[in-house]
Amino acid sequence: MSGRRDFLKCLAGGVVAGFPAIIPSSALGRDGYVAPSEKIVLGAVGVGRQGSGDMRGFLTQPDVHVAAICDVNQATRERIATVVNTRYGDTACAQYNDYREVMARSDIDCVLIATGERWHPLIACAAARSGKHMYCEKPLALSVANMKAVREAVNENSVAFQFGTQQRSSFYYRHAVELARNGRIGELKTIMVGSVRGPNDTLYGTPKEPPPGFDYDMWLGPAPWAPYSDMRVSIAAWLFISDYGLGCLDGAWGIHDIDIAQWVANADRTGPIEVEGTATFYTDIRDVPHEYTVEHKYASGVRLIHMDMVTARKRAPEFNALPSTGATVIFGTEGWIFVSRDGIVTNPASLAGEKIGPNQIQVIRSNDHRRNLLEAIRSGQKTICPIEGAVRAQTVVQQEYISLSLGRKLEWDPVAEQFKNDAEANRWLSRPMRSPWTL
Amino acid sequence: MGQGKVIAMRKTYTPICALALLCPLALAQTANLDDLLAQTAKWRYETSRQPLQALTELVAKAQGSPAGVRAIEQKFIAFLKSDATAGGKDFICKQLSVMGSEASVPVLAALLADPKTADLGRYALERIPGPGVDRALRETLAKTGGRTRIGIVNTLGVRRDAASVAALRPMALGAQPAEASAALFALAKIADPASLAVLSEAQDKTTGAVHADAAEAWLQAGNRLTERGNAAAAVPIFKTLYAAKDPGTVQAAALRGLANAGGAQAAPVLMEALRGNDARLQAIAIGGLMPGSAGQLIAEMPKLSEAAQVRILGLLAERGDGTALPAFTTALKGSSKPVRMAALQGIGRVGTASAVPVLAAIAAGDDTAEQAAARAALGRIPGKEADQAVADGIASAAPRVRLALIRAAGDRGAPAAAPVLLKMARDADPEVRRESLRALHDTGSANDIAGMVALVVTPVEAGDRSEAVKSLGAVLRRSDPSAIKAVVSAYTPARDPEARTALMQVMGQSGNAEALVILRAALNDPAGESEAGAGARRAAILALTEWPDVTPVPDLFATARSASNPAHQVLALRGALQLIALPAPSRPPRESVKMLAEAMGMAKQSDEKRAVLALLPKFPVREALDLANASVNDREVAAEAKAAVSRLERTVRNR
Repeated sequence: MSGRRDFLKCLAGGVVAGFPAIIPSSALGRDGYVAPSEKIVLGAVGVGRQGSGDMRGFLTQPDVHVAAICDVNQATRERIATVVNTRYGDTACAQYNDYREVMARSDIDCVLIATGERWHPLIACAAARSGKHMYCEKPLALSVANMKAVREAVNENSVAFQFGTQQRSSFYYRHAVELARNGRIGELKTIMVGSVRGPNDTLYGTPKEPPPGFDYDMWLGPAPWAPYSDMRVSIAAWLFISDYGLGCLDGAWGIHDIDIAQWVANADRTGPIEVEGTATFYTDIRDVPHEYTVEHKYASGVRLIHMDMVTARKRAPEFNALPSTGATVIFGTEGWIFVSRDGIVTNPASLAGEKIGPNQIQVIRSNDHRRNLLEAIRSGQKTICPIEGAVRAQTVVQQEYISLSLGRKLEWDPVAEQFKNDAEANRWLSRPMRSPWTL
Repeated sequence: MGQGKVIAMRKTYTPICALALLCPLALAQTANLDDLLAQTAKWRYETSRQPLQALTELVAKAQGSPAGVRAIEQKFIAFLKSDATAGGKDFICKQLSVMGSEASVPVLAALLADPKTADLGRYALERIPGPGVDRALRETLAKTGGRTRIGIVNTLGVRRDAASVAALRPMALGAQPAEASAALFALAKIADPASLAVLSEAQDKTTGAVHADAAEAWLQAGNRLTERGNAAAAVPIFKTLYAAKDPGTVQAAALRGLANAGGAQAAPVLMEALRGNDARLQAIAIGGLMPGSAGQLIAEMPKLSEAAQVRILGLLAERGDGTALPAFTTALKGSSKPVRMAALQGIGRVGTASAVPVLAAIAAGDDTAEQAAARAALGRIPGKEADQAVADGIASAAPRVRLALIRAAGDRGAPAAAPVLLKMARDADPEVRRESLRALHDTGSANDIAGMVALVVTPVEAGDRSEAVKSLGAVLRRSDPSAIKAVVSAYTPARDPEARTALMQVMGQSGNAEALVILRAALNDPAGESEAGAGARRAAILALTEWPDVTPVPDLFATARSASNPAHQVLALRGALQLIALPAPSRPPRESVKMLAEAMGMAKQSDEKRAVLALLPKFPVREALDLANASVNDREVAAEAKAAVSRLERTVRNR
């Protein structure tokens, strides 16, 4: 189930037929603002809470035409297809239950991938092999092996890839990174990341039959089988069940600021070489770390410390600079920088307003994450969050999860992309998939 | 947090050695293991995972002791033979997946026979090392069918089991499409000579959808060969697939594979694709040719499509190769807007000082998009020579170009431009003056302070002062504290009230200790109580309101409390609130709330009370919640108080 052939005949029953895959000319080049030939036709796969927001963002782009919606929840896909059709004033938006139907459409140039992360590598590889560019939500995958598979597929098929860590397209983060890289806080010593702490509640569900219109087998996809419950498929739970997600350590926040830490450390093609930490784990329906402190060391000696935000605030008062749910604090020998989605605070205070000119180190400028992808599709340039950086940032999170699960310090070889002399830890770098899925 | 919801995990563990299994502690752990296994045997999905988490920790503790781990494995094997729940067995299989050995193979292989448990068994087997696992998988292959068989094929591929090629061949060439597809991709992962032979054979012996998969699988095998350093074996595969053209996506990827692996052999094929009509192949050819043949690409540009030219310029820019600059300047003169835009977007990375005039001209043009792109490029070209070119151009440029260059100087923060900007700040054209004053914000340095003070004291027009004040404040903040003396020297003798007010503003923005003494004196001057002196006191309040931290808050509170002029009271209180709202990570939130409580005590108008309530959620501590609660019954601000309480209840609880 990893090829690019027309698979439709393999699907037996339960398939939702798409509407005719024809885009009426009236839907293209509206108002003459963008020539029809310049439209990028997009299919959105996974349009739940995150995906529908992403899709709406693309819907407002003048040079994008959303042609297909795919979701395993019939009610969701119908609702979101209506949003698209209302925008365009027609009924042309196709609806699919199975992402492979989207990949089979040669008229679709680009896909938005915003399903659960267990699915991301399969869909991303299929997209790349179908020649489709992609905006892939974070996390990239649940294992290093799968991340690397996406990297290979993206590079081998020369498609543009934008990772959904959109903080890089914000002035605050870019400025913080440029201040740090230009030595404005002296020598870089430590990067601390505070990620929102998961809720202090207790969740259990009641196993039952999936409701009509919800394709649970496709929802599970490559993940191990478990009985359906409304709780299991709710975002409050699944994000925190290790078969589907790693909670606040990863997709529920952590990857955002770990990505920034990697950017600060200029480590998009490498990563930390050591990891160790402590954690408590959920033990209800969820099973991922809840409270945690994980420390990494880069080869340069720079330390990266990732904590849940409650722990972070206790450990470093700088996290109180703004009342943010997640933040990064960068410490140098001569000052520090707090940065979050709410703003940037520095010590000395004057740093925040300093300009980084063209004669200093500047990173790629992007003020709109989606536009950055659309421009990359045309220019052939790398996006601001390319696959290489995505894999390395996600690898940091994987290192953390594996070290916390094994309860010991691990050493990482960033060239071989595996743990050093540790066969047991290296077993965690891949995850078997439920049949028939594979990469 | 729910009772017993999480279990603490210690940082370090003492390995259990084989001998230690006999000691009392180890015996206790064994008893604990049995107890936990007994609980796990009854575990059902959607019930507490405490025993499972405890077992996970116990396995972790056993690391470092192969005998200890194997002892636990034996318990797990026995568990799988028991009548434990499906959930319990699922969990144990996941454990064996990361700690099991070949000892577990028989019990796990037995699970493959039943479609209901096959995925569980395979989940465990896939990550267990050893030829015994491969052998068991191969032996089971023939006895299963459907999804179970496909799963086993997938796992054999993941394990790159070369011995399975003979078993995979008939499936790959067989009549079952799903099996054939799985087998083809498993062979692609193995990518040894035997599997490559089968994949080659499949190109001729498959049809329809399976044929497309065969092409894709062969392509993937070729990429694996390149990755493993055997490009010579990969090149013929890519050439064949490129020539076959079917499916088109494989053809494109084969061209990319050829570019990666083919060296000199790839160049003619890439050039052919570049000159062809297939936009996708053309795009890949550009990417493939860029590293070694950028010059050829530039030479071909005029003959290529708009899209191809945009892509070439994009990739040239990404390389940051300055020798490509002529391609960009030529493109800027072309008739295609997308190509011109691509050149403008890229020239910032490859440009030099020589590009400044043409960019300034475009930045002064009428096309909004090109204007913005040219301005961004002017701000991005590296080098002090570019700074100088911008500065040198300002004095002699035509009016619109001059404005573009002044803005560029500011965007670049080019100190070389400050002297000419000081002159331009007295130009007859108000726009030139305004832009020059703005640009000084980022270009000015200590050397320019005297000139900037003069612009504050005697501007060409009074309306210029606000920009001059902002820029001078910024320069002072990044200068040595002694630089304030130039401002103080101008303030002391100044008689013009507007000039004094502006200089006070500058001092307020500076955050300078010497300036604070002067501003406090102005604030507390008894003359401020009189009508004649009210303006000066007002100016002092506003200046202190611009202070960069909370230092003047007590002064402002005192004024709010004791000033006879109600307007001064209100201004001082609002100013203090503005300072309390500034980020101050080193100040404990409780101290901020204490200041807000004091402010609330002084607030006479509902607007000020609302301002205090709006700030409270920034400080999520119990005291803030209490303060918000105290206003819930105040009818004037009840809604704001309730909103603050609601936000604080959430945030205080989560901390």
